[in-house]
This record gives sequence, structure tokens and C-alpha cells, in this order.
Amino acid sequence: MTMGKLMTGYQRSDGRKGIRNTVLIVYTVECAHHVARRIFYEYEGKRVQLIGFGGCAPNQYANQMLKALCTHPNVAGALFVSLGCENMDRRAIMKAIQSSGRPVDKIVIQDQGGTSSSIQTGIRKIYNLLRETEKSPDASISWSDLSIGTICGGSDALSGLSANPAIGKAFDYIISQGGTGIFEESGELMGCEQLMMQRARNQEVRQKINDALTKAKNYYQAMGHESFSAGNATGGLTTIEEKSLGAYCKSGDSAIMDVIKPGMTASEHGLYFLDIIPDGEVKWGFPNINDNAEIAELISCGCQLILFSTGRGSVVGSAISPVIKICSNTNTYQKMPDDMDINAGKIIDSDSSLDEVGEEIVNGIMKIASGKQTASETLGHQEFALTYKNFDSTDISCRVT
Amino acid sequence: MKRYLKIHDDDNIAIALEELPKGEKISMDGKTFIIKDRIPRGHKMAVKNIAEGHDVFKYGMAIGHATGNIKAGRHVHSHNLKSNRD
Repeated sequence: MTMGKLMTGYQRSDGRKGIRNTVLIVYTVECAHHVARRIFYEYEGKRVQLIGFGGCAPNQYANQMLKALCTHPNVAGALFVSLGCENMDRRAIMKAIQSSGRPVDKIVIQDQGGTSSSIQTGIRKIYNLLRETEKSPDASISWSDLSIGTICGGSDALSGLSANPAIGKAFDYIISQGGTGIFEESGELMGCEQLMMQRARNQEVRQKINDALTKAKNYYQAMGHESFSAGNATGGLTTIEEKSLGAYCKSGDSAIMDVIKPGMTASEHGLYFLDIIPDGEVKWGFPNINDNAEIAELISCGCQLILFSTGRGSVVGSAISPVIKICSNTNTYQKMPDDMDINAGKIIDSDSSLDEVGEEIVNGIMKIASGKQTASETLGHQEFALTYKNFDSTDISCRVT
Repeated sequence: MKRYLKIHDDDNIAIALEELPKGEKISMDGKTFIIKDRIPRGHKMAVKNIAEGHDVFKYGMAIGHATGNIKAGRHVHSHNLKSNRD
């Protein structure tokens, strides 16, 4: 793979570079969701997207996530839609967005004369934000400007043989070119502890990986999560490490630079492990309720683009960052042609090698980073999920950008 | 249509993409061997001789060790492969 060519994107005044120029509408409690959605409907198909947090009780993690997402490189500006009496610390988040150089505005429904007036005002405010962010200067983007996340959802028996190792090949290339790759899925990595620790760049990171995976094991045990089933053995998997490697191989062969948590960005280039398991006691249920909660966390770490491996056929995209769908088998790829971007099933049923599909993924990233839409973007997918969670001191270790 | 897949250069096993019959001759990486067991779809076949106690590699990483000598062409599963974690 030899590609010296640059991609084109958007320069932010905080120095970061995005591949999309999105204006966010952010509701700060479920009570404001309807007004926010009605404003969004006026601009559907434009570069406006809707995210938010449903909870009323305060949560440091949700604040941190929204702060990270609204100052994401793909985001040009934001409008907050608040009911007025919820507990989210809207002012602190808006202040952080303002300091990042992005325009930010708000509507407080209780001060705005209620629903209709808030919708009308919101439509006008988005119009202004779109005009103001039209002039986001173009930037040339090299691999070192990109952070790329990976996740799998709706996996099948072929995921670990085609789509996942092909993503690993793409990750190796991206990182060899100075880019950053982020992987997660602590729940799927049981049995990989020693192998992951061997890939740590130093003793400190080795210890962090060990701590994160021990925490994951305890958490999933408390949730009653099974790691190896009889069906796995019938299908040909023998050991727990073999099963886990099927998911883990998406990370490729690079050294693991560090363990990060949601809302933190990578401090250097290279491969990072995102620890999504809450710190402290087990509470508030499953670590992530669905794939999109996990995607939102990858994006909160600065990922401008997500590589999503699926076998049975996930349809989701995401708010903020494009999601490239890589299908493990030709059957699903042909059954759901509108939803898939790349067919890794070619590795199984034709002469294509893992390297060739890895190269196809890299070429796909270059086109999509320069503005081509993914399948899920074309279909209007903008899923977003954010729930209550607890992490220790994410603020302290966060890189100042 | 591929019938088996070796994922990583360092691997000493390949995955059957369809059921492989016993007795068939296989050529891989310049070496030839005979399939010595019926290999069900999705299961592993040794593509090199693996000595007892040596690691079995898939994805270029150890997925466990051989509990006996495994000849190229043999089925590799719970009867001759054990996790390194136990």
C-alpha cells in the first residue's frame, strides 16, 4: 500500500482537523428532546445532527462526554436546547465549547415562552450557526491528523476470519503512516490478557491493561455475562483466547501506546486501548447498552471515523463521525446492499487476500475522509446513545487541547 | 472458492471453510501433506508438525499449546489443544 496523497477536511481554530463540518443540536434532558427534534427536522439532510442526554440527575461522565463531543474535530458549532430546571451543568460545557473557538448558542424552553416559540427561535439560531460555520477553512489532512476507531456488532462465525483481521491490516497501515487507532470491547478480550500485555509499550501500560481487563472480568461476572459457550466449541473454537482473538485481531499488530477512558484523546500517535468499563462498584446496569453507546465513546476520544465489522448485518451509523460498514460474508453483503460499504466476504469466497481487503478499507477511508458519504450517511443514519456511567478522574489525565 | 484459510504467516493451523475430507493432498507454502482426519467446517487443521507442548498459532498469536505431537493434516481441537491460561 503506497499512498502519499493527502485528504481534505476542515481546520478548527483549536488546531484540530475534522473530516465533517457538522452543527450539533444538543438536548440536555429528555424533556427538551421534542423541541430539539423539531428544530432538527427543519434541517434534515443538511449538515445538522441531533445528540443529547436523557437523564435529569447530574452525571460527571455525561458532562464530560458532551464536552468532548461538542469540541470534536468534525463539529463546527452547537446549539443547546435545555428545559431549564434539569441538573446538567450546561454553562460549563458551553464555556468549554466557546474556548475551543466554536460558536455555541442556547435555548432555555422555560425562558423562551414554551414549545412553539422555542422551536421557532431554534430554527433561526441553527440558520445563523450554519452561516457562521460555512467559512470553516479547508485543511489538507494526512494520516497523522486522523484517529480511527473500530468496533464489531452483529458478528457471525466468519467475522473473526475475514472482516476483523482485514480491519487489523488497515489499522497496521494507518499506524505505520503516523495515524492513531483506537479499539475497545473489554468484554470480548477475556483470555487475551497476556497477549495484550506483551504488546504494551512499557511496564506502566502493561499494568494499566492488566487493571482494565481485571475490572472488565469482575464487571461482566457481576452482570452474569458468559464468555465461552458450548456452541463456540461445536463451531470449531477450542480455547477462550482463540475466541477473544477473533475480536481482538481488529487492532492489528502494533504496540499498545496507552489505555484511555471515554472523553480522553490519545496523547501521541499509534494504537490505544479504550477502557469503557465504569470504575468503582457495579451500578446502572450494563457498561454499554448497545453498539452506538460504544461508538459515541470512541468518537468522544477524537475518532473522526469508525470501522464497524458486522456479519449478520448491522445497519447503524452514528452522529458526528462516519461509520464504514465492513461485512464478513458475501451473503449478508448481497442481502443488505444499501447498508454495507465493503465486502470482506471476498476473503472467504474468492481469491482476495486479507491484505487486499485491508487496502480496500484504507482506500475507502481516504475517500470518506475527503467527503464521500458512507452507506449509513447516505441513508440518514445518525444513531446516538448516552447513559449514566462513572469514571474516576477522566478530567485529570485528559490532554489539554 | 477457498476451502481453507491460513490467517497469519506465523500460523501453524488453517481454518476449514467447508468440510475437508480425509485423504486429500494439500499443498501449502511449498510443502505437501495429506489431510489425516475429516475436518468440519470452521474447525482447525494443522499445516505443520506441532510438537507436544508447543504453542498453536492463529492470528500469529498463541491460542494454546499442543497436548501431544500433532502432525500436519490433523484436526486440532479440544482433544489435542489446551488453553495456556489454565
